[in-house]
Amino acid sequence: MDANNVARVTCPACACLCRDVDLEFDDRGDIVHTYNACRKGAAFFMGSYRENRALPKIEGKPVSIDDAVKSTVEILSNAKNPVIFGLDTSSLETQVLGVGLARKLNAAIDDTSSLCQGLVLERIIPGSMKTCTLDDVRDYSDVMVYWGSDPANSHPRHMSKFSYFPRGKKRQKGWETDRMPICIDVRKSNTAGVCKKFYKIEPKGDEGLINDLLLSLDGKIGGKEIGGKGIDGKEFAKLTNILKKAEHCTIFSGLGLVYSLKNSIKLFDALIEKLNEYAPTHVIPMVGHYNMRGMTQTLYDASGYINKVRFSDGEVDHGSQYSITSTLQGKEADAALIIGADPVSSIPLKTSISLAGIPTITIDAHETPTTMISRVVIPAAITGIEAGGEALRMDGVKHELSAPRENKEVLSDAELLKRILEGV
Amino acid sequence: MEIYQLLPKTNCKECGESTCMAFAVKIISREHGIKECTPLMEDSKYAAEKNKLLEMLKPMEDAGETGLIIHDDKCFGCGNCVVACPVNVANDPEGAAIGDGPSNDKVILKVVDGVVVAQNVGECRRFGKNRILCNACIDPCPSGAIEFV
Amino acid sequence: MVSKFMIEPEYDVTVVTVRDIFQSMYAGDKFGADYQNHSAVIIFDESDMRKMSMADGGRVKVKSSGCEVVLTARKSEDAHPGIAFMPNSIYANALIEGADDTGIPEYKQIGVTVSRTTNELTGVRQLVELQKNVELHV
Ligand code: SF4
Ligand code: SF4
Ligand code: SF4
Ligand code: SF4
Repeated sequence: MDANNVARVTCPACACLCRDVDLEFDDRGDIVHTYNACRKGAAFFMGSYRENRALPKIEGKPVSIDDAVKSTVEILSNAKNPVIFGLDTSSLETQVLGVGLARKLNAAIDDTSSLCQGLVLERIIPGSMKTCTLDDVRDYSDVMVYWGSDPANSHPRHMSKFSYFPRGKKRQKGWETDRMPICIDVRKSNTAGVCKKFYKIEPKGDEGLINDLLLSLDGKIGGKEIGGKGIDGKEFAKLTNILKKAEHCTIFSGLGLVYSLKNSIKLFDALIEKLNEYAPTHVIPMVGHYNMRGMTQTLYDASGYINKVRFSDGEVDHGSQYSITSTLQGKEADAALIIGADPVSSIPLKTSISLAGIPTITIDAHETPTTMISRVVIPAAITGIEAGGEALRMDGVKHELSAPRENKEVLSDAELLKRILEGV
Repeated sequence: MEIYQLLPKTNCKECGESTCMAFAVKIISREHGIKECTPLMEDSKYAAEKNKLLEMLKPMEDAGETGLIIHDDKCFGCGNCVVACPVNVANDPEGAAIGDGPSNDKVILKVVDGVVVAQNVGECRRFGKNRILCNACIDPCPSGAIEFV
Repeated sequence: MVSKFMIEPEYDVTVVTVRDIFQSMYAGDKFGADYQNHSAVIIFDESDMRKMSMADGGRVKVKSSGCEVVLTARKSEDAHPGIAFMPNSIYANALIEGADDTGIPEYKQIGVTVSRTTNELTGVRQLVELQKNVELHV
């Protein structure tokens, strides 16, 4: 590789925000090679800016950006119950603008966290659940539990950069002896395949497992009494022991865990509390979108809640009735602004499709199923390639994003939101 | 055995071995390359066998001296092998050893365009006089992309 | 003679959504063939596939209470009778019911019936168009 044509960047293709990625450019400024990025990151850098770009449209017809913005301002100003959704793949600066817009419009605002890691984030961000950074994990964790998470597929470099293979301050001997990775999942995922211990549970078996763990930690059950279908009593006793004796344990909560505890998350609180009586135990949510942690933090700072918020004349209301699924299911929203999200793909289609029945505006770099049904489409720059800013990694650590290929033809979502804010 | 079956079986010794069987054994141990069997390569009556053998042995050729093969269609580019390889750790304590992308060119494994590539394979612990059966890049691989043949 | 209208037997399975790195590589173009081919997939337990006489790579009709999609059947490397996996995408979200009052949909337990089919894979665009027409004409 030719050093003149190489730039070091941060990868925003997942919430690991790897900062050691090198890009190589050709003479036209196209990204032709990536170094150190995983398959997902490489595809993001080499593919995403070239293909399937969104164009400004109103009702399917090409318009200028100015007209699209004007129409957006009109729709939002006339709406009584507007909803804003997304912002998980925007910079912190854009998120602040988005929350400001929600406040100014008296809108409901929500992001993908209400469908996934919100339950854990609303414990981590206010500080009611013990957490640590990925750098702490690298330096200190001897026990790491991938619970309902499969980083090999979702956060490919998580294990190599932070949680299993690297040497760290207190972990100098190497992964073979220093670390005890445990996977708990309903299937033998790619992650389970490389962990030293794998506990296969039934779908929704998490609750039973936690109950058993709570009892066995206190020595109330053991051996063959263990429920947790499919888990052998002896192996279960080992698990209890490993967790109890850990020097520094981190649990990476995945969607598998969160979804099956959606009505019993208090059980997880109790488990983390109980584990901490024996060993320092931390939780890091395996946040998907690269800046969902940032969005939930931004909204928390502005409103006291991480998601599902409704602003009205400066007051803040919060509750599951303001989750994107509830607002759309109840058909209360009379206009929607979607920013860097694709709800038609990512939430139940029967719910999301009601966006087709109201004036929906979508700001996105790409054509998506959501832009397909939007009344107004406004193209945006790709943050992390064409526009910079800052973002919070899954553990809350702030990183600078890169803009190695600035593109003057599209505005950043921050610039677009500023213009909309001026208009409404 | 399959290799032997496809050789001319004339024991002509052109390859420097006294029998085709001996030659076949040394193909497996990498002491000979298939192209050293001149009758097979040159005589058209062995064309079908030649093509079959070339195809069969292609992975071994690709793998070079250590026998390391990377199935890049399977590879996730996760870098687990990069960080776990003891040679990478020893040669790049400030980079690969602590989970970062390699900071020098002395490593064996690194990730380019989202998949792992191997270089300096002569440094691999499976190679050379003091070779050992190292599995430190295979065991951490979530995709089964690394193989030694 | 085998009628082409012969009714294929239906089987009940529970779908659990999972992540797939190869699918997520193509998420920049959700209308592209690569994304569709990696998303319109359902991964079955091997013994289930035998029972349903399905072939690895064959097509299956997957039906839930409100939607029907045609996907590619794939054989799992792991054993999980009665359970099938789907990468999270618009296809899984088409099969899912809405959310309960927690606002969180049931991504880890979607009840579906499956049967063999010779129909074409459902396209992303087609899926959206169908639903949109339903929505706009109620
Ligand atoms: S692990 Fe995530 S942040 Fe790191 S290179 Fe891969 S996609 Fe990018
Ligand atoms: S050159 Fe070929 S045919 Fe002759 S002995 Fe060697 S292997 Fe056999
Ligand atoms: S066999 Fe061992 S030394 Fe050789 S590349 Fe793999 S990990 Fe490195
Ligand atoms: S560990 Fe396997 S999947 Fe990961 S980079 Fe190495 S070869 Fe590829």
